[in-house]
Amino acid sequence: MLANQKISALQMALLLYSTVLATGFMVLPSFAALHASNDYWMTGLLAGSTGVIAIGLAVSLHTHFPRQTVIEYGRRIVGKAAGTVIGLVYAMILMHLSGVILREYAEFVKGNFLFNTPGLFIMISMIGLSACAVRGGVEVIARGTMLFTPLFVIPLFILLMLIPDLNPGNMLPVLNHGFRPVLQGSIMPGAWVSEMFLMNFLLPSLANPEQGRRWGFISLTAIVLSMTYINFITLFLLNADAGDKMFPVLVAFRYISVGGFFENLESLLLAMWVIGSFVKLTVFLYSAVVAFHQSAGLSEHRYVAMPITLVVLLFAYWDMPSLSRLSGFLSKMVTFEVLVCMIVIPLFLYTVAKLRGQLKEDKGGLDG
Amino acid sequence: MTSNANPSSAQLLKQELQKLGKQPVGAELEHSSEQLRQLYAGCSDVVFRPFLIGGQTNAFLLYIDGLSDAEAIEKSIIAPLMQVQMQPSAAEGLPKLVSQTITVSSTKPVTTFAQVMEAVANGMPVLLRDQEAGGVAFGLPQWEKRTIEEPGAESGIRGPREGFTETLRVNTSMLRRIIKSPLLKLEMMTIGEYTQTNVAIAYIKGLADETLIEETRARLSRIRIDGILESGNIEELIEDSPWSPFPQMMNTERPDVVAAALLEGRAAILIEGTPFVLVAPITFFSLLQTPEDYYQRFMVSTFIRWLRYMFLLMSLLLPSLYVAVLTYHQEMVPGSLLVSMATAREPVPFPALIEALIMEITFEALREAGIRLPKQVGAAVSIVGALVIGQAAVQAGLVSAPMVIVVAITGIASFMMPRYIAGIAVRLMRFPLIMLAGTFGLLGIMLGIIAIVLHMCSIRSLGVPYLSTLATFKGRELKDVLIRGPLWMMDERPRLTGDSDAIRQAPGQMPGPQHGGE
Amino acid sequence: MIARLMRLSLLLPLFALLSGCWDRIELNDLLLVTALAFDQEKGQVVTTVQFLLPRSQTAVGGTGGGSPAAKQTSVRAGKGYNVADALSKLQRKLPRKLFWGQCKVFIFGEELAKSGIRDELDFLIRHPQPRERSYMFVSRGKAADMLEVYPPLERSSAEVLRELSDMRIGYKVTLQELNMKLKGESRAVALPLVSILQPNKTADPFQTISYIHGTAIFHKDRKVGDLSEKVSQGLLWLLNEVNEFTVTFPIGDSNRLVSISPIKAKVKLIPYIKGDQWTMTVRVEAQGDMVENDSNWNPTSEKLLDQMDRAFEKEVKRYIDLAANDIQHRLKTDVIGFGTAYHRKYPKHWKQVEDRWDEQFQQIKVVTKVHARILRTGNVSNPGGLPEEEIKQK
Repeated sequence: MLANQKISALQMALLLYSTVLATGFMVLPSFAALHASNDYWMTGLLAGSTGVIAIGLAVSLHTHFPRQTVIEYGRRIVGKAAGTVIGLVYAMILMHLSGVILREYAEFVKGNFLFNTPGLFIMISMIGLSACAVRGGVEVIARGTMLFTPLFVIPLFILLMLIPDLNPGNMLPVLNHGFRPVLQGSIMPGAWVSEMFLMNFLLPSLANPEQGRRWGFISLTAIVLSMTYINFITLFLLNADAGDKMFPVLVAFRYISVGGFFENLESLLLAMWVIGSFVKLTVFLYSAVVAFHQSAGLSEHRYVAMPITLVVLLFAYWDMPSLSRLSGFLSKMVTFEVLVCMIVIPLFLYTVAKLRGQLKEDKGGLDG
Repeated sequence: MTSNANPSSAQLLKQELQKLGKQPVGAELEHSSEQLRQLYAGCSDVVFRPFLIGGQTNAFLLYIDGLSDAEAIEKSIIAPLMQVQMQPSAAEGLPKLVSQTITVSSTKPVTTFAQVMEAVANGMPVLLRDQEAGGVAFGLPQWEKRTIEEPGAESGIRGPREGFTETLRVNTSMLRRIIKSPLLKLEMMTIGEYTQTNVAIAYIKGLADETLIEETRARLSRIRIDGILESGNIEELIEDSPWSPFPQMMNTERPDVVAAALLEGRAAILIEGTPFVLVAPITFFSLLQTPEDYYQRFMVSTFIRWLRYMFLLMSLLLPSLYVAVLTYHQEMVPGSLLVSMATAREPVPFPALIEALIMEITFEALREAGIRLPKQVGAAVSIVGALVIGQAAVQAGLVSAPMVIVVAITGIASFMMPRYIAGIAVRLMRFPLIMLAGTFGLLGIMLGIIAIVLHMCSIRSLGVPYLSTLATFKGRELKDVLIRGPLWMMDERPRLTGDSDAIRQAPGQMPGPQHGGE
Repeated sequence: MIARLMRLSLLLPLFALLSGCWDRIELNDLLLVTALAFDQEKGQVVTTVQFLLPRSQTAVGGTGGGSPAAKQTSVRAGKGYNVADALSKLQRKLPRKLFWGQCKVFIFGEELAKSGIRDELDFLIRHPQPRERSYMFVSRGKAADMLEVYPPLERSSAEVLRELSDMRIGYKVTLQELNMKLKGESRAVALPLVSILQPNKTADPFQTISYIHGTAIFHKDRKVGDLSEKVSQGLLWLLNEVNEFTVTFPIGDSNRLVSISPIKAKVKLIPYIKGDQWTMTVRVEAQGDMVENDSNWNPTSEKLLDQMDRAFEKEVKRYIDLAANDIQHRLKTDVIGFGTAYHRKYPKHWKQVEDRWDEQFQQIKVVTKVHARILRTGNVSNPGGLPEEEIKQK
């Protein structure tokens, strides 16, 4: 599966962009503002640092173990048994995170648009599409993303219509409470950006792997810029009140009014949200499927796609009782899980490989 | 229908025919003529003409009345043979006789019954002589055919006016008139147990990828079927994703479209008996382009292309957006418009979803009726349609006026698709989208769009991804998708499969005073 | 996969049947709410909605329709312990579902405003239906009365209020701004005050409009006082909301009037702290065109124009000082945003006074510096209809 389907580095970059931002731009300003008050615009920039680490780890490990995912080289680094355990941990966490994403998606839709529609239907329709895409393989996902990304990005520029209502003075006073709250506020965005490490599941499918690093960083730059842009818009519009809103961007879209005609554009946000969530969920689901089938040593990923989809649906349906629990959960548990999965384990693998000298011996082909 | 253990009479006949076909035509004229007479028993159009060559040797001529030129047969085959003095020996045989006496330009020796049958069916009279195995077929086909006319389904303002006809040879000749290089290859094959339809694969050697042609050949030769009546039959049997509403091959009546495709390294499949030629591989975007795009000024073409893309989206989405906005996202409608819409909808008894479905289906019915009806009645249909749907339905309070406007715009939009088949596919997608819009609102539409895009991303046309160029982002080729780049900028052919000769014209041909004479 | 999708799509008609329930709602089942009014009555909240009557619209056909001033709206009220309760009771009296998508006006009654609007505000900001961009008003008297009238122009009295606010002469506060200001540094906000215009003699008693007249001052969530129309104008200067104003001022000894319109102004609040003395400099850059000159001065004369500029400046300064004084010393509520200005420039000092900002606010010295210019003198130079010899040229 990994061998015969090929995607380009640009496609990988777009996949990662949507993956990080899809849910990020919706919830992150609120979480960041909660801690950092009116300095939260900096959190996007700070969060970029975890992205640098994640890309660095993914690319350098891939350079030494070409055409392998973290599951495969995990085995080679720490041995078969331990490697399989790591692989299953990845599979579990990724499945769980997919469930969280699905639930997040459904909660937003249900809380703001379709109040009476059963959440299960909303979730099934989305995860069904994702499962189809995953069965179609990484090529289908990547090509779809090429078309979806503009649909996701262009509406962001519509926020510029808010310019008459923006008040740049809200930035002041800068760092009134010192730097600590900003750092605190950066933890969650940082976790989000560290999802860039998922590129290790995509790198083996790259038609031009030597471009992987470059496009990874281009993607990261775009992510950080977009996050900062969203942060600025919401900050200038809502000031520190952004921390009080569930979805500051939703308020921003609702606030747009041009000539009394272009109004109430929140439905546009719904469209973006669906597209973004779809890409994100699909990338996570794909990674979970790959992680599971590689650690279980199965030959064909298509067979595990459906069972895993079902597990994800169960996670999404039963794991969290309510939205407020979800947000508490997001800020603690998920942040922890993501950081373990995207930074800690890879860093551990990297260190072990370095100590065992595998990094030198395996060097070949690509330029680290 | 039939079990293998007990073959039906049709199968027996088929086997018998095959057996006979493999037999050589024997030297004993009496015997072989008897065999042929049995074979063509009941075929009133088959003519057996026995005569004596030079008044001595028995011979007979076999042809199908109406497929061969009877006058030419008389003048240039029968007459000279009857009067010939020379009696060549059996060893020298017919070939010598033919080369010395007969004035027909094209001749072909036939040895088996299968060859005789094929020659006769294609309008070539076959001559058999006593005491000699085998015979000769003469190239004298002549039958009534339609004259070359302007293609009905693809009209345009600028560009060649001729369209393909039902006759394969005429069609290949039109292609050859455009592309004179011997590198234009036209490979023939016959498909269909009973129809024995001639099919030609056209491609330009060197431009078209070898594997592509091989694949086409292989797929065509896999076909086992009673008959091929139209290119659609073939299309359905060789396409990549049969479970798709989207056409994966383009059909066209215009030689210039086929020639342009061949020059881009694509293959064309010409089929006897239909003016529609298949072109493959294609991408979705080639279905949205007209030949005129390349004949007009590039700015005009770019504008028209964008218009087309816009209306493509409209024809796909407008009714469902209308339903979604009206039943889920009313706040999106500006205040005063919402009030007038509410007023318009006040007397309408149906939910917006049902209203939209009724109107869309009615419109489709009108369109279909308009195509099928004789031309004289067609006008009546459009009057009834306009009056009933446009006026009466609104006044009776059955549908609201905004809905009529939406359906009308959608209708116009769907007619903007230059390829009828593409337009139909898009129209088909509209109905599930309307239903999704009625169930989930905008969310449903987005889910529908995701499903459609995913599907389009997963299908291929002869191995080329359907959304190639855009979804695989070939930066340079975008200048023929997003815009229609000036001709002097499009120096490279589109890359379909494999690596073929990329450069199609000398670079730097932008005209200007500095390039002029002086 | 595709085959499966195709088969799945056969289920779509089922969805269409299912969708009878869930969230689909036809336009015919919606009540288009144009405005909401909140009043207090014996400790309970009365919520009054104004809604459009779709049948009396003359949009379709164009043949029907009575006089343009026909009543196109109606009101209905519900009473409850809080807004949500009142609305649910109101819904029981309405055959159609309340639809707030185009509801852009919320009016608080006078009594309610005095006892606090926090409960109502929480509902409005929490519930997903009310728009953050809705305009907030306070009424003189009962808020419901503002919705009972029906205007000769426009569809509803709510729309009149919105149009008036949008004309940039008035002052508008959106729901989001209200929420942010009450949470902001000074915990105070000024809302436009609406009252009912005396109807024409020939019109029937309800055919009139409610219009903006003055400003209500809120401290925390309670209304603590009003500003007169004149002081409200000054407040707009201080808030840098001056647009298309007309300023009329006397010149020379004769006290003849000159009018400048439209005014374009930039107002900057510059906070300054020196020792214990907090000073706020209000720097105003104003300019505009002369539209009326009742005096005999020739405005093309450089010297006279200079004097006119000075008079213009004086008038602006008078407006501002009046408002600043009234707000600072009578109402003692920082609705101008001095607190924000100090917080942004002097975050450390701010922390010390944050808790007793209301006292500190009264002690701030306001210095108004106006620079005003008349840009153009209109289509004529000399005063109109005045013989040459009576014109003062220098």
